[in-house]
Amino acid sequence: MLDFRISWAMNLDTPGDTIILGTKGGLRVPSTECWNGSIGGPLKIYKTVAGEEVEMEIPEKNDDTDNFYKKIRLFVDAVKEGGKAPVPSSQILYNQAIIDGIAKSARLGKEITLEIPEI
Amino acid sequence: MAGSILDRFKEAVEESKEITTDKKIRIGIIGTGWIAEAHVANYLKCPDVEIVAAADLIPGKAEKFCKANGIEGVRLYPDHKSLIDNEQLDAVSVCTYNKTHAECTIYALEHGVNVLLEKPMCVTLEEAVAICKAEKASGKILSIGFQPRFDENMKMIRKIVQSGELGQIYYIQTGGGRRRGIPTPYGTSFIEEKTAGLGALADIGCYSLDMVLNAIGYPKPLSVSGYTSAFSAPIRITTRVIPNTPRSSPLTISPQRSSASRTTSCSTSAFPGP
Ligand SMILES: NC(=O)c1ccc[n+]([C@@H]2O[C@H](COP(=O)([O-])OP(=O)(O)OC[C@H]3O[C@@H](n4cnc5c(N)ncnc54)[C@H](O)[C@@H]3O)[C@@H](O)[C@H]2O)c1
Repeated sequence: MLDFRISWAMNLDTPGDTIILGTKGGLRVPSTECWNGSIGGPLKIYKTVAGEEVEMEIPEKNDDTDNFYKKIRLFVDAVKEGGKAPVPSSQILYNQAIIDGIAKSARLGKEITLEIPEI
Repeated sequence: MAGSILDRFKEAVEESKEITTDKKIRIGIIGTGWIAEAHVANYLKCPDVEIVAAADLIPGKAEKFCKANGIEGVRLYPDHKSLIDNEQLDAVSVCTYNKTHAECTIYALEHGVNVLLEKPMCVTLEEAVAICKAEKASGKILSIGFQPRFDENMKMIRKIVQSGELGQIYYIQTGGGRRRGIPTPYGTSFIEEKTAGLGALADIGCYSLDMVLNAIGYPKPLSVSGYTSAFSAPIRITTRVIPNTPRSSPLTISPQRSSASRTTSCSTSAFPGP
């Protein structure tokens, strides 16, 4: 189950955290706008170890190579070497299906089943 | 202890390769607006790339763009078709607004040209399916322009999930939004229905979705329940005015005229899982 909200103009000051809950632990990604890769603080994992509730902080990485450069460079490498797409359409098809589904569902005012054909 | 746990998040280190320049990759730029600047700036950092052509629907825009971005001897075209028909290209960057992503990408693939397509992939699911089919039939490479994929902190989110440390994922909350952040960098192509097709959902929503879906391995989504709202008061938007942009600054857009200019979308989408 994925809960998702997005806005260009809302009366709130931060995007809010991304939360990923699993059967053995939870992950908090402090408020992020994602597009530029910046996060509002270190990632945190919440777990229970030997009956104790613990938190683990993942050290933030200082990545000084430009993500926009890597996007171009890895694409050029794939073209040169006949390699695989760095960000494949088979994945983004599902991203688009959800976006389109939200728009359609909102228009219809009810939940819709997604029918995504095999390519 | 902490070391051994963290070790599990490590992935094979990407080797940094030496760039060979004996073969130059010939690139065409389709759509010479805002994001095309970032494509050109980074192609120029690649010694094995040659930008040979550029196209834009707006007369004179591609020429001005090439001058401003320091690329010379580039052949200019009035649309994506004439560029692809008249050039021998290895690849194109599709940097057009969302509404023309599908037609430009499909035309390039059908003509045997690899494509780097800006995000979002397109506007509708039908377009996305057509793009994927064209890619498959062509045997060419199509990559979508999600640069956060290459960020080390963003990659860590996927590594943590894939390490198994969280167990099986059953719930995710993501997205958010801006207090005031309607993008009008060089005009209104992000917010008008006829160019953008969708509002914040397509602009920034696709990134949050990609961050978490990539982390969990992009399972096939099953169903969606969505809600959108565009509240009433007109918003004052200041645009940076550039020549050839058919609007002047400042500009008032009412949500009725723009593509859900202040859309808040809520959605739940079910995945198989506990
Ligand atoms: N990756 C990122 O961080 C990022 C940032 C900004 C925008 N984008 C994406 O890039 C795309 C373009 O955004 P922008 O801000 O550069 O828009 P823009 O309006 O500044 O530029 C788009 C240009 O494409 C041209 N165009 C449209 N259809 C065409 C066609 N068929 N042939 C030739 N030219 C055509 C338009 O005339 C326009 O000049 C959008 O889809 C947006 O989502 C991505």
